[in-house]
Amino acid sequence: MTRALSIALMTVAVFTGTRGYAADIASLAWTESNLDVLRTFDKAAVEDFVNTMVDDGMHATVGEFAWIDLAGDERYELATRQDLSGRAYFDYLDVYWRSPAGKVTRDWIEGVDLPSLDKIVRDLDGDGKDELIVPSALDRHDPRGYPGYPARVWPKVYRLRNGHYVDASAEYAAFYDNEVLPTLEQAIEQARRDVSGKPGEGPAHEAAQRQLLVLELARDKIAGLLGRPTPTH
Amino acid sequence: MNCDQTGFWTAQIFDNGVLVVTLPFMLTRGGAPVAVTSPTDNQLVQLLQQTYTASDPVHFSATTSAGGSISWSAALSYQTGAGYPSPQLTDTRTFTTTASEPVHDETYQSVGGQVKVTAQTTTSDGSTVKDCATFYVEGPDNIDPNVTTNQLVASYTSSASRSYPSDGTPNLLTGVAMHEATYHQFWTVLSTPIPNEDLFGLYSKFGIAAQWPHESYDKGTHIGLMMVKTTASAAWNWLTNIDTGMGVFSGTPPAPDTENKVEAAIRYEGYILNGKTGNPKITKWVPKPRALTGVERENNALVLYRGAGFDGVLRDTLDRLYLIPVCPTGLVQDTNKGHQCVGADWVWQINDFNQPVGVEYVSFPGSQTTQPGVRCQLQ
Repeated sequence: MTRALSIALMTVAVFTGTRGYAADIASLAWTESNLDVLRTFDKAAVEDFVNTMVDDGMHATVGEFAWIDLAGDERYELATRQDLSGRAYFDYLDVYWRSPAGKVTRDWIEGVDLPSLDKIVRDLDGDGKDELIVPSALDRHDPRGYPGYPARVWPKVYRLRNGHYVDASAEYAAFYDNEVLPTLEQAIEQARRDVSGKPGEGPAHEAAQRQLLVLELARDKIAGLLGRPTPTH
Repeated sequence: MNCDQTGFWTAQIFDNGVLVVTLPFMLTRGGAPVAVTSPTDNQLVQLLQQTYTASDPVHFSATTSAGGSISWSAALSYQTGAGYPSPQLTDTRTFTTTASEPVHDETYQSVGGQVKVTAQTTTSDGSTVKDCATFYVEGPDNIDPNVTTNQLVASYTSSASRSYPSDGTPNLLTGVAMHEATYHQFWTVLSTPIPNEDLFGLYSKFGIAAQWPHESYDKGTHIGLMMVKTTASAAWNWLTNIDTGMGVFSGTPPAPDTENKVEAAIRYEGYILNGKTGNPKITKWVPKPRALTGVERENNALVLYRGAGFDGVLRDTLDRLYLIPVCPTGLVQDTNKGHQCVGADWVWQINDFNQPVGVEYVSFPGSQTTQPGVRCQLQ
């Protein structure tokens, strides 16, 4: 009876406004039994929650969120894609955890123009725990693509360790061999054709060369990660 | 036959599964009882009026042998290659022409895309007949770069740009527009170095390279001179696009955000100079660093506009702006007075160690694979 009333009140609260629901989200146990209630919180309420969790940093805009049992332990986590630029560039993946004691912690992962969460969250090794595949910066240069300058990204794999996500890309050679490198090699071949098809000087030729170079950098990065000899090019 | 069935067709005849005859042919429309005479199929209408934000009047007319009035529908739609805005921009207009007023004019303002036109009338036997045409509203072939520059300067120095520093850089947004979009609001499938998407297959089907809003490298999650979030108005009204970017940077940002990037930069600078009341992790830097100039504040704000290399922890944010206080002696102590540089004054230094992406965005001279920063491309 009490719980039913609580659920009813929470649902009403969600539809009467957006501010002040951080405490509501944090106070609920993130469990299967509360999942229906958790899923009534809309994007504005979740945005309020994530901005309350930080100590006066930049305002974060939530582009997408989902309640997912990432650890396969019948508890749910809040996965979000966030923007800090004010221009809807959703570069940040934030995963919020709530312990049985009610403590909320988070994993903050910076990526590059993140795709939808269903493309990020996958159980790559079939152990019942989700990995996170995050398009990430290739190096210290600006990874975002601009006209004539390709995005400098490669997919990192994060896995759960001691309750939080850590970069474990080197442990997922099969993922890179089966899903990433073949596509990358095809893209490199296409880029080579583009370069040879745009002979001489000029912006298009230079852009094609940049594309080829960045793709090769990405391939070499993965090869190095997996302890393989770097292909010559 | 309906309107979508016109165009090139191929008839093939098979004999026991073997192709024996291939016959290409074309279906066209025309003649009575109703035929659209204007606009024509694949006609391009450019936004040339009102500072390149509005079209000339588009004439709608049709011939009819039925003699009655003609009911028109003109349904515009637009979406980038990546599917933005979502849902797509739509703008459907209905109107009527008559024998006494056979031409109707429509003007397109701050919108564009494909327009499917249907003209319908009723014949003497009571049946309904119709004809169709599809035309396109596109951007101008060329906006004079000087006009673009003037607008970027005017927007940034206007009263709406509430945080423009009086000792700032009036043409700062020209560098942003160069860096983000090569100074082009509109772009074609043939533009170099990276072409726009062939929206509606207009080039592949008909060889027509229309001027569509300039899409970000990922086929249009972002749009135009300032590469702001793709909306219909930011795509089709270049003045709105500039003002939207300016709003994020120095004016009124889109809700629910209330603080623009210059204001945020000044707030963070204030935390360094004075500490943050109620936050014991943010004590003031001692001795007090000098206040930043307008240009330096702009650089911090540009790093925030780029938005990379941050997280939600305030203390980390203070270490990831364009400029960071550095103690020349290297002797730093956290005392009850604050975050103290021992034996010297703090000096502001470009923060390329903690914030390489943001510093590159602002002032990198460029390399083989990386373009110059905003300040290196001012117009």
